[in-house]
Amino acid sequence: MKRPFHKHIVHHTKRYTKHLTKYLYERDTIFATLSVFIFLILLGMIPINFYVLNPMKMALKDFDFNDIAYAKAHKDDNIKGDDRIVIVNSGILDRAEIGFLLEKVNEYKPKVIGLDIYFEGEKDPQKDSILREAFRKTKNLVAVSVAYPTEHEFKIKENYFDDVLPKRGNANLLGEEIGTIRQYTPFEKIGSQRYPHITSAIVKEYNDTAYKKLEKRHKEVETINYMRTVNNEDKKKYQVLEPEDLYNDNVDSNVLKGKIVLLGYINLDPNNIEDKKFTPMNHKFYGKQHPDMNGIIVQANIISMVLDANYIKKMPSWAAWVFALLIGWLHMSLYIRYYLEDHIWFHLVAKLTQVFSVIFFAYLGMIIYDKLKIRVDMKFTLYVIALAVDVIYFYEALVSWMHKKFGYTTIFGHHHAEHGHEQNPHHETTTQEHH
Amino acid sequence: MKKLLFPLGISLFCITARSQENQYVVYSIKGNVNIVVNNVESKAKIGTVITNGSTIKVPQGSFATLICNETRAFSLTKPGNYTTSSLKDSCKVGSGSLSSNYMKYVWNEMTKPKGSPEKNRKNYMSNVGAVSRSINNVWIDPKLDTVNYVSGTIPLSWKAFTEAEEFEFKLFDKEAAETPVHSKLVKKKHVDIKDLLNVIKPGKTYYWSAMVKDEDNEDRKMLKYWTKEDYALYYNQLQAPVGASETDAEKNFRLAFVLEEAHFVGEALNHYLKATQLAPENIFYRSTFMSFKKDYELK
Repeated sequence: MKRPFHKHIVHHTKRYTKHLTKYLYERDTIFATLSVFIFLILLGMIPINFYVLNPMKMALKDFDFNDIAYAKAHKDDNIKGDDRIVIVNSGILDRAEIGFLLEKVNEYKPKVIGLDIYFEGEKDPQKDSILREAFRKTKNLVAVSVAYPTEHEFKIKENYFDDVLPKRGNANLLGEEIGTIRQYTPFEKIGSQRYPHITSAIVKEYNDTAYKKLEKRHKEVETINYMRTVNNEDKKKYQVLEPEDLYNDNVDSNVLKGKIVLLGYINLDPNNIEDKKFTPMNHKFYGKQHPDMNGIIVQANIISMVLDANYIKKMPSWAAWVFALLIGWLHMSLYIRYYLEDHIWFHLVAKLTQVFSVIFFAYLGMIIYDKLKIRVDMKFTLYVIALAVDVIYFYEALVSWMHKKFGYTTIFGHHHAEHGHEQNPHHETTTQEHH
Repeated sequence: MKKLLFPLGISLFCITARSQENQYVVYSIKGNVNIVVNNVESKAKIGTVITNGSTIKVPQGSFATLICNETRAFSLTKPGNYTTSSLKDSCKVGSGSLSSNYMKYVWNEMTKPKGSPEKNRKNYMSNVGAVSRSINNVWIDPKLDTVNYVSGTIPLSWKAFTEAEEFEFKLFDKEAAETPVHSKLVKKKHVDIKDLLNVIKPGKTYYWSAMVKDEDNEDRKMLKYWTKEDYALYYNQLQAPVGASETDAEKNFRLAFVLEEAHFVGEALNHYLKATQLAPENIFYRSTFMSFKKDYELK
């Protein structure tokens, strides 16, 4: 009699679940899984970077699976623009022109103006004095400064206009020199004082509640929750104004009134890389690429994140390790089952499992990041899955030696005695005996 | 009754969802874009909210970028009048969810055909190790580099190296201006300055260019529209008698030559014509007059 379809499904599900769990509670499975971790830890302890000439490793050094969410899964397509922030492009204006532009912007009565331009040293005295006067008149201005490391601490570079710029914040972003910018420090210890990031100083002026929330988090480093960008195509998530738009009265008065105005350099030409950073929103998320986002848009993203308290929580390292342990354990159980019982299929199953696990766990991490704003580090999990196959061989050799030497009972013992046969016809017996 | 309530509710929900109005905001503009609301026309500004039932007027040479529902940006680059209902399709955002887009990406990558330059040359030949310096399909005679205009019918002409059906003529108020003050599509290879008199103002300098439709031409020529008074001052200087005595024909020919050198094309034409009329037997005057007319494509 033919079996009903649903029973057919139940039967096969049970069969495959058995494949996965048959060896789950075996002592060898647990020890083999732990061996993977010991191996990982030992690898991590080696003080030399072995990937120095490994192009694959070097290309993926700055890689994060969550970047796929922006680059390929269009995570930001449905995100609305942030109309609390307006960017005014200073382009390549000289100091006097920036002074005039600042006054023009202030005529529109924004709540705060963040100036993302650093002025080092004296230039033309006439132009400098025009800019100085503009700074003096603009009471709602938050200016930028640059922090630099000395031997023991950070210091702030002197800005030529410091005396007329009481409200300031540093514009430094965390990341390697040509690496992806993922984090920033909301407050940095400069000497004995706590110096704010420019975005923190701007938020303080704009929304004190959001600022206090940021302070209360007591986070030394915050992960930037990138959500918006501006490009030459269809992404215009922040309003960008050119100086001539303001001078020609092409701007509705409500566009800037009561808003945060960021005044700085922006260029949407992808071939112009001045002040452009690599971000997780880059269309190309690995290998050689162009920086994709002007510094001022990075700052805008930080401000949006702080105003909405839309912070990224990071999964603690111990949780990442525990997760990796559980997933590694399940994989090890499956691998051992095929290693012992269907050795002919072992490598094929192992490779397929690795491919699908990478796809699935990258997806899982991305979904958790998207829905729960928790950045899950799947790196260890994927390392464990990748290493498990090789460790089985090592573990088998070790326990076989221990079996001979100390009489250590192992599920590999019989398999090892029969080694050379692709399939072990007595595998069930072996297992039964062990049980 | 209860059975009816459920489908009725669903239908109502669908109708409400479908009739939801899109909201447009002007993101950027170039040129003179206007918005008509309740038959009242006003200039579009960045940040202007466009309500349903409004019309956006985009003239030749202007464009506007709008944001729909704070999410999707799109540009209106072609001249015309756009009603908000005609823009509905521009509001559509990517329909795929994060999951489906991810799966699509994984599948596309997994099924992407592999290859090598030896086996599939087409996929590897898109990189060119040289810069591109394309030629303009339109050539404007250097004689027209500068045209000083006072009156008359002077054609601003060009030649084409391609069999284009339509050309775009653009007039700018600055040499490096991005947006033209006037542009028009023409089928002939010239535009008469007379046809531009409602656009150009005496005493001002303009720059013009012509290009095959949908192509670019960065080559710009100068057109200076002189006031009658300024020209009279200049012309009177030329009238001053020269050392040797000259006949009226000679004087007209001299003035024509000087005016041609000074790029007063229309005025030079008048004097060449007069010189030819006053001395019809002079073959040199006649041939010069004919060449001048031919060079500037004058009728």
